[in-house]
Amino acid sequence: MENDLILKVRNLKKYFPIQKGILKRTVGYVKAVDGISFDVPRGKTLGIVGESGCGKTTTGKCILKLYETTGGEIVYYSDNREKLNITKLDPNQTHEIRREIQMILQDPHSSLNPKMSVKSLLEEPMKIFSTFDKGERKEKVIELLDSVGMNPEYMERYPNEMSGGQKQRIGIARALSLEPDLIVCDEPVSALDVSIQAQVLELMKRLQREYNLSYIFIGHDIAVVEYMSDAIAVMYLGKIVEIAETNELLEDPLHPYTKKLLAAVPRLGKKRERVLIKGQVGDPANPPDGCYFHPRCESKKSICTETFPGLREIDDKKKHKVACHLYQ
Amino acid sequence: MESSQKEKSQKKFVSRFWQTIEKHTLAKIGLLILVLILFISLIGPNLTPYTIDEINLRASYQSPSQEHWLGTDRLGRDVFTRVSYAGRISLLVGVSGTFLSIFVGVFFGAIAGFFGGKIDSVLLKMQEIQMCFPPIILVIALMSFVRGGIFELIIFLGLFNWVGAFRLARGEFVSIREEEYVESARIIGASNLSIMFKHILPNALPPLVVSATLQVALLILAEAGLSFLGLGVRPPIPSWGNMLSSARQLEVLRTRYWLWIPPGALISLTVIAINFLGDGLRDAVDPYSGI
Amino acid sequence: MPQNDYNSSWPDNLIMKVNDLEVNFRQAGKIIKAVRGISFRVKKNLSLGIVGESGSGKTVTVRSLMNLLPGRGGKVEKGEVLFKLSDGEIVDILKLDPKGKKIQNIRGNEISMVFQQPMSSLNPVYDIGMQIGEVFKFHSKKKKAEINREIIELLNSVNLPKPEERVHDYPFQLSGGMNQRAMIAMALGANPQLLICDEPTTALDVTVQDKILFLLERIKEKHESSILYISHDLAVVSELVDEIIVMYLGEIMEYGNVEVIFDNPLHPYTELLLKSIPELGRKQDKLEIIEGEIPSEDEVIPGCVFESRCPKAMQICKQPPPSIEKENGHKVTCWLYSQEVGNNGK
Repeated sequence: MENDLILKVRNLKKYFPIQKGILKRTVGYVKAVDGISFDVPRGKTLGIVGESGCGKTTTGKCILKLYETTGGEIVYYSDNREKLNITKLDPNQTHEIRREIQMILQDPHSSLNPKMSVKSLLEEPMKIFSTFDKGERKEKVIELLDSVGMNPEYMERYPNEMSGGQKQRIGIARALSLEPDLIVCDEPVSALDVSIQAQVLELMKRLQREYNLSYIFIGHDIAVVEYMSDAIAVMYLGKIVEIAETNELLEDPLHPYTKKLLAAVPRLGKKRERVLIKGQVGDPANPPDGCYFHPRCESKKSICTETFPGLREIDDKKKHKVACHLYQ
Repeated sequence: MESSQKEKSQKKFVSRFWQTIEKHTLAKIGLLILVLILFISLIGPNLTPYTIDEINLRASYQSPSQEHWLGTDRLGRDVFTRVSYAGRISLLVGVSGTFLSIFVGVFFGAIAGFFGGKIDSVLLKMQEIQMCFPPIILVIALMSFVRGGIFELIIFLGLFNWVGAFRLARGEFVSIREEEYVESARIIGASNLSIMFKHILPNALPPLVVSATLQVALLILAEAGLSFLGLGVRPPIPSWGNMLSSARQLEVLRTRYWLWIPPGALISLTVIAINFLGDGLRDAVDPYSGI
Repeated sequence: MPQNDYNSSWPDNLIMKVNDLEVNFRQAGKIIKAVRGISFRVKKNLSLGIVGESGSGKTVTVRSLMNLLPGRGGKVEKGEVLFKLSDGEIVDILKLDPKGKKIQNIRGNEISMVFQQPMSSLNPVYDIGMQIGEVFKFHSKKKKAEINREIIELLNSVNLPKPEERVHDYPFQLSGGMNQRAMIAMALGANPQLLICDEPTTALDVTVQDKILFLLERIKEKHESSILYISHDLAVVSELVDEIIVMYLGEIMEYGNVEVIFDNPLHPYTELLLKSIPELGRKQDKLEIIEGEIPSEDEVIPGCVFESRCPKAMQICKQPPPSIEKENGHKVTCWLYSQEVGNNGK
């Protein structure tokens, strides 16, 4: 069970070239994702948290092959345990893998084509892959709507006739229409009202149980990510600085950045110390030498300015990994 | 049950469209005038016992009367019949020429805007080259060289006026390409072709519709001018432009007003009406209009 | 000091009284009731938070406090916003000419505002020194050199590193957090009595937000400004403010001391809202769900605006609920706490 992975990412890199001048010469790179590795067990949720510029959204898009990666590999294990290296797929294979890996986008107000009805939106994936014939498609649309808690009359509606929560449900239904096994969720509730967030989160949890879905849940709201995830990876400036099972991470955060990040989250009605992390997030085009976090770290040692600490396991049993010289 | 739902949604769009037009008095007037002119063009020639090329030298240059509502021209042909038939010609040239220019412009604009990069650079250069040659000059040159008729006129007018639609389409494609719903379509595996024409194009239409409407007016004027110079629609087929060319003679201008006022007035009215309608359409598609 | 009718019954510790405020908007021929009749008080040196989701009316409320609505299509149908100026005079801001001198004297000077998106509220073509300087230009008679010194002092007080250099920076050269601090500096420039913050940290990362909140806390302590903080984020508000107003669809559901309300929420909406938000480390199994959708703003609702989604809704809730005051100024607008219901049941 433990070794039943659906995704294995090793040393993933995505650099964006910075081009200047008339001849568009490459003068540097924005290292959005700079060598990250993680596993996603089948049927579980891996959360990825981090602040702006940490590379979490880029990571999600690399997994979906919306970007060509600069390095590393992403290995996907399909249902019949067939191994596929996503970074090395040809266009046909890329097209096919869309059936298995899908995405839920952040902004429900802009992720649905305003000129398409709900029925067209939900049928489109099926038409592209010719999964059903016309009659079956309609039934499947009704089934999809039902699974996200909406009744069939929504079929003829257009996006501008629906609320944010309803639109997000349609987005979820659309992602489900090809019956994928892995869904990358990029901040799926960030744009929704607080009283609607719970509805959508609970829906996503229920769908996970029903269809044994695996999620990669990307978010900046740590409380939401904590609620949804079995394990969490903390990213900073393109690197994973810590990764552990959710409870373990929250009870015993090890990396100085993780500690500050968790401490900075406002708590309802509980008094807490202001964290006041030093400085600002570095520049992904020009990250510091050694550990990327060292300019802001209060516990830094001289080695931290020289070499980057690799992501190492500190405890074999607890599967808790940190990228920090304090623990190596 | 289900089809009525679909009708409801479509009706909603159409009714919203009418709602805007209704509020816009100018657009209403424009639309009314255009409908009238269209009506006259289609029905007009059948209302009289004459045909457009019925020559009757004894009835030459007659002023308006009971038998000839708008009088006759030099060859005794009934002006009313001719001027209403000419409406068909001018509208035909205007509308089909516009369709052609939109077709070409959107085709290239979509490709340039969607793919960007080298393809875009090449197409932009093509556009710049075209802009060095005002369409009307090219059409004049070609029409005098080829000595063609209506068909050639439509082709040339359509082909050389593609730049407006190209720029609009390209701009829309460049901006809509970045929308999340386009990304969403990519994620579910839609092909480039499908994304361009099923996803982006329907959303890019509004400004194109406005531009196309105004383009019709421009082409009607162009045809009128060309025919006036003898390079457009050639006799015996009447067009407002070539009917106007009779007014080149001072005699006609001064005394035989029934020969040039009707075509001239119809050209002006049509163009004004189209502009009014275009104004209304522009408000209808403007996202800030509150609808 | 100028006296008028209001002075006689004005408690010392108040700077602003809002009474029965009703604001409507007109959109595509429909009337939208953004604020449906609310009343509250802003106390001296105390901070008040307004919490609500979209359509709650919190932003419209706050814009009307400075009479900024006429420019945006909103119309105050009813109500008064009474404000005690620093010279003692009490004015109804809503009755002032929105383009007149009197209100220009209040805006930026007595009441200041900080917005959500610092990048778009700062003019991109002027450096921040000039923009902060404007505050002084309009509201004080100081000389240029003195103004420059004060600007640097201000930037220092908002923890902007190397203020002497920052003064010449343009907004696009600074990060979101720094821009927000510049905005706060601008807002504090004239030492206002009331600082209104409209979701100032929503667009910022959580560690940056932390620093801005720390800054606001310090301002609370050091200056004599009261803070009015609007947000949809209950946790943020709960840490910062003393009193809180919970709004829903243009009405106040609950109003009172923040600790009391979060410990013991009376209104079903507040209670459900608190239970439906994931909280760090709380190890929740399942979140409480508030069924249904927020009604559309143009809907005519005769009774309680929350009735359509309230699990405790009764027949009587189709009539406008009364505002009941419990101990310690804890107010709740709900039939559950009315004597009538207590006596007659449903």
